[in-house]
Amino acid sequence: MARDIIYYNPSIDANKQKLQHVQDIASLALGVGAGVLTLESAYGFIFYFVGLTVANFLFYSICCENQPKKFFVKPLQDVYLAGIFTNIAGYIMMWCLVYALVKSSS
Amino acid sequence: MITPDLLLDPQLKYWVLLPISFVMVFIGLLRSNITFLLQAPPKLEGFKAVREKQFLRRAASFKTNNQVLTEEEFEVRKQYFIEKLNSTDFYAKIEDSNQDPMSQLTDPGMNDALMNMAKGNVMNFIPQTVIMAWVNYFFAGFVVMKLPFPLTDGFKSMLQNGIATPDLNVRYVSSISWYFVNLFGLRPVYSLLMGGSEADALMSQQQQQSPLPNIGGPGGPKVDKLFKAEAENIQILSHESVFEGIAERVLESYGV
Repeated sequence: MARDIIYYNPSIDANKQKLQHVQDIASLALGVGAGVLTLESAYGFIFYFVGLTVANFLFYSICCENQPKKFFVKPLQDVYLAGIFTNIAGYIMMWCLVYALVKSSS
Repeated sequence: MITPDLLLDPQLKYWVLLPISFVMVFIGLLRSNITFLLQAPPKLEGFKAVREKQFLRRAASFKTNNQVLTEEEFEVRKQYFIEKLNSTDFYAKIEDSNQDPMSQLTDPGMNDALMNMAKGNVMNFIPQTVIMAWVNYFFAGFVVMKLPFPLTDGFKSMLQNGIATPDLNVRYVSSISWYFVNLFGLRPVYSLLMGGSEADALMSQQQQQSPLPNIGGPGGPKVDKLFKAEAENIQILSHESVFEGIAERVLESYGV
């Protein structure tokens, strides 16, 4: 009989905050990257989704030591899906800014 | 090479884009500091009010953690909690139930809570309005940047505010749209500058979220209702000890 793992909520929250920190930096950095590459429309969004998923995968395998069950209640959803749309605003901001900087000086 | 529709002055980015970003970041930081300073120190509660909350919490933790108790201990505590939750021993103050709801509005505690809420809202509201007015007034009437992604024509009236060229591509936008992009996109910047929780508080409009049910507070449920509900929950609690079938589980987990 398998008993459920009991989670301590403050720890779960702290883990989520660390993930959020990683995603914040990743989305800003990806925005700068997309701006420097002067990606446009769909390519920029594909770049974001791929880049953030790679960042999430690295978090999943390095920070969670491939055992995300120990750190998150619903690992796949929490790591890969939850942050992807909330962080897009920061990405778009950096993308627009760096794109405008790069385009207008060329 | 295809010539672009419009050539934008390179000076625009130094005199429009970066200033708007800096101003928004600094006003955000300033706002979080001012909110911190304006926060009233938490008021000391009467011991009876605290006792009431703690008792409710105790009952709740009994409800979640009862499996560590043995059968007799469980029964004793269950009886105790049901009896106490149904009596008025732990109430902070005994009110008559048919009280006029309007009289709550004159309650001083209610006024304090309203004042705090109003302060929070004002701190949220004024800076945004001021910056938006400033951007609209100061940088009005010219195209500032080209967005890297296309938008539908529906955004035209909002994002090309004050530009009288009806056929211009929607990707060329005026300063107000850079303001909006900043408004939504600055959360990661704040969280890197200040630490995550403050940034979330800054971005969210509703900051009043108390972990405990605010007993007797404005709009909160009445004490007796909460106590009765808790008593019913405990009444129907069935007990299963963690030691139930422990021998089999140990043997199973070691594969014997």
